[in-house]
Amino acid sequence: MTDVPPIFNIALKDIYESMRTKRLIITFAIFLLAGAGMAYWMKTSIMKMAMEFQTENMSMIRGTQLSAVKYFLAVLSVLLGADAINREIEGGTIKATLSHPIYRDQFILGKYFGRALTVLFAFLLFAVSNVAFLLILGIPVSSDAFMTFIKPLPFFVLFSLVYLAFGVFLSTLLRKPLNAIIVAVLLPILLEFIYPTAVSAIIVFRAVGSGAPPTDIGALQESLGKIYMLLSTVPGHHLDNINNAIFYGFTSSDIVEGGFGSLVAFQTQNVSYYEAIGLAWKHIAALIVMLLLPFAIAYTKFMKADLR
Amino acid sequence: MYAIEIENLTKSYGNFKAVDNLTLKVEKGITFGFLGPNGAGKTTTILSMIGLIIPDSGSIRILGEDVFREPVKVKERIGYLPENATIYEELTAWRNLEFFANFYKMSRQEKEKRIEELLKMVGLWDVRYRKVKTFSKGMKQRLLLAQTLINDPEVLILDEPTSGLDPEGAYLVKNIVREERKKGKTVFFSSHILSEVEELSNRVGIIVKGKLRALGPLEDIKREFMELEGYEIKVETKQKLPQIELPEIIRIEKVNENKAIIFAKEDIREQLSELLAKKGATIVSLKVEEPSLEDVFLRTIYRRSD
Repeated sequence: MTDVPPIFNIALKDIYESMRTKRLIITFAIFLLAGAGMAYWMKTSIMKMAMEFQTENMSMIRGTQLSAVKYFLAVLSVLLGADAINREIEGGTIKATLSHPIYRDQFILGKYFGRALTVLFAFLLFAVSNVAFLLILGIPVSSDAFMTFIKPLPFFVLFSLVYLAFGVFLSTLLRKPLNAIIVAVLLPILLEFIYPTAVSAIIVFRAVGSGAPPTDIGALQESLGKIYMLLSTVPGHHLDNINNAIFYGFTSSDIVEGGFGSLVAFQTQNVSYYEAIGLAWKHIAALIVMLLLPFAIAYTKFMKADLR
Repeated sequence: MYAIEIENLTKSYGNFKAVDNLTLKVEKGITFGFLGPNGAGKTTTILSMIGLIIPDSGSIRILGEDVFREPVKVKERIGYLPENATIYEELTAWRNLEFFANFYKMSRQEKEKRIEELLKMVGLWDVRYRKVKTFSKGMKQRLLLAQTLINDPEVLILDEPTSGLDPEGAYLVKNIVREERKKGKTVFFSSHILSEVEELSNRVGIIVKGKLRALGPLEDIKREFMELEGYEIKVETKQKLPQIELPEIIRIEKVNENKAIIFAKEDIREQLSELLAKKGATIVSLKVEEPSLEDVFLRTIYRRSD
């Protein structure tokens, strides 16, 4: 008997189906080009540096590059999730599928896994193209450099899954796929760019509102604490902190708790991967909560929905 | 044992009651035609049977299993053809059926054999490796029909099965329904094409404003209709039609000197022939005109709806 579990059947169908769409081919091409572009950026950055600083700064450059990738990942993931359910409802394909022996929860989980695998594939494509182009451009990729590249990947995957869950949430909330896609494009811009910029600007403006130069370190530290607290609703903030823990050995909470002086101390620290995870555990937990919460709402809504 | 048992099913959308305390039982092995005007509650009833709509109250059992408590058990034994639906357009016809077949416990060989059988049956074998998005509406509908039959279901639930089909496609659907009936399968189908319902079904249910207004074998419904609405008797005599007076007669419409249509409260053919014989008229024909399903349907909608 070929007994394909329903969740995998849905997931595989979804991958198979999406691989044939122009949207995904364009997305993959963008990721491929991003990988190549970042390899070129790394090459030019290294060439500008004095030889002795190259190895030391390699991981710093990599950290900056990966932070830039998060915008791509956020948009791709939320877009992939945004029409996962509503397009099936709009087209009526869900009626045919759910008339076969499958539970509703298996359907939504299958859709989520299918799309998650597609995001992973895109990210893998980016990673492979990046390493390949580094080699083509004549930059040797040592095992240490490769490990530098690999270490933050699980958290980028987690970050992608958070945005994918946001997308699936939108697809159960908004009946029209086009509306969900429009909101999906705006959501990462709002969450990752407009909101953090606005929060930082307002708090800094209030802290130095008198026009006097910011001499009170304690007040500045307090403002920074407020910014970080308000940014705790932003997935990218947590990813940046995990990245910081891996590449520089500190997180935002360390700065708030330890003061600016600790920044210098942390920067010189070379922490192990496990130590970095220990440092960033709150941010990892926050990302997990951010993944589960919208998915749980989407799941509950879908389970009770009338699929007309 | 009943194939389908719907009890006190109620479903509202806001203030609108789409289905109002509907109770309906369909025996095994019959073809049941579910009739009703647009917005009467046909599709809501059918979607509730598949578990796609969660009713406010009531229960639905198919082949003895509760649709909401044991959805997978039920769905293993039914086939459903949705109305105005489509199939995965980026996949080929073969891949679509393979996807649906994967939900059932079948060996690869069984799956391939069944898919081949169905694609040949619906006339899509030659285009099996073409993407569905290149298909015409009729071809898509035929592929949808094929997915309905993938598990060789005991109960077929078809929502407007010939809607949007060309005559050839409609003929194919009707043939499949007949074949399934011959195999002893239960077919529950909704339609607004009355001739189709009359042709295919041996039991009919008419739903109006969410309530079941008529239920039973077509002949019984027609008889009941005639008892309620009156009999239409056509009479023709060799000679000029004499004066006819009987207490059961409602009115007489003269067609010409020899022919007339008599509307009566009951079947008065016997009394009529006696009366005409007494008056020396030779009867050429005397028959009760059976109402068409269209008459029954329209009267049910417009006269009995509150």
